[in-house]
Amino acid sequence: MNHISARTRILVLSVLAPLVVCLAGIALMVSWLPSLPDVVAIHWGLDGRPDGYGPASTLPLLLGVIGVPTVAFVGWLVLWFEAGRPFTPALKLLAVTSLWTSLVLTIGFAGSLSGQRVSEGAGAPAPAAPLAWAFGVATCAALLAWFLLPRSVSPIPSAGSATAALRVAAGERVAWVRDVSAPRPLVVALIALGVLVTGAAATAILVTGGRMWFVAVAPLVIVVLTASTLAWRIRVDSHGLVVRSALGVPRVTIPLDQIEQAHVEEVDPVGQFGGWGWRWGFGRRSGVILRAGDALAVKRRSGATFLVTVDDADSAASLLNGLVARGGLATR
Amino acid sequence: MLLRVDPASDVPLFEQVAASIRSDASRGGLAVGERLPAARDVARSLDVNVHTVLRAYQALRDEGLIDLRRGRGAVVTERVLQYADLGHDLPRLVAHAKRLGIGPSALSAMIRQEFAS
Repeated sequence: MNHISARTRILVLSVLAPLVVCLAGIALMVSWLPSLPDVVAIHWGLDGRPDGYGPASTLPLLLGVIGVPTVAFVGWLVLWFEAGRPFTPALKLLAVTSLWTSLVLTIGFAGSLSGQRVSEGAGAPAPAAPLAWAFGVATCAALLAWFLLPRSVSPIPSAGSATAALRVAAGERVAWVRDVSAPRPLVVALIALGVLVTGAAATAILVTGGRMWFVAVAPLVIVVLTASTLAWRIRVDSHGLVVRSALGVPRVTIPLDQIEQAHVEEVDPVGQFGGWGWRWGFGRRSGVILRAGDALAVKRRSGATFLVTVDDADSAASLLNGLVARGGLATR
Repeated sequence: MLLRVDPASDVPLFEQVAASIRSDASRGGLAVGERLPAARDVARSLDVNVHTVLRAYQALRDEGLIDLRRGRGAVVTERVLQYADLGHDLPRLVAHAKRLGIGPSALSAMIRQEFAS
């Protein structure tokens, strides 16, 4: 496989193959249109019985209008981020997701339609069968794609030697406080996502006459969680490192006695963490990642590292090391 | 923003808090329009009364370094640029004093004299 360039493999597996799958699915469903009744079931309730009907062309249309752009966009994102960056596990997962999504959608839709073809007999079978198939096939294909894609490279973080400690006298109280918020482009993107998700949920509820009210729960949770990642307050003091969302939760406190050392690291959000916000990276690294650039990195005694992208991280690291050296005693 | 207070010192706590912030300003660490952290957070970090911090903020407001606005909190004004400008002179002056063996209180007294003349 190695003679086929890495970029080509990514292009084929995360852009071309998913597109081909979707287009083939659309072509197949369109070819079935003559053998389908004018009105078919296009939505099934949780009990497995159809509760939404429409013209048979709805499903291939949905696949074309929603499926194809989504898959193309994700694949293009991977290619765009891969240029000039190491191919990290996070990026590789995104690449595989594109193929996985295209297969789930296509098999799910086509399977739902196939069972309703006039020659097959009366009634629309519940989509449980095609969905299970869809997930199964998609996951197998995703696993295969994982092996065919270039090997992922764990990003090597910059050397994490401790920042020079600040001298903190025995009775002194020293603190470092800073507020940090997501950069404007990220805020706009997150708000757009929130609006999209809420709109989709509202549409689903309206279309089903309010019977699917619980569909609003997930978007509401997403909106609240997203809002909580937009602004944070960061403190270094005798309590240790305290990172708190402006909304109050989520919050992280790393007490001084759990800290081995603090330093500053260069962070690449997409390459190392697969995105922005409260992230988990590979290699026991987690943190609040709001932008690329300098981040305060705290190495815990447990070996895990917590990072926060913030300006003046150097002072924060220096103070943390000084407080740890002093023993973290808050003399009163 | 780095803040240091020493409860054992003769200088009142609120003065020390204000001095910390002023020091940040003179070192160019504060930007125009930057919002200072909430007094409550600062008080909790330094383990002092919130009114101590509020008094420090008010002192800085009286100096014109920050604006206290309802809802927006403490916002750094353009005056910080002047503090930073003056701050450029400080390292050289203090280094000079150290070389001559002149301590901070003597130097402060000399500066105060200079203002009076």
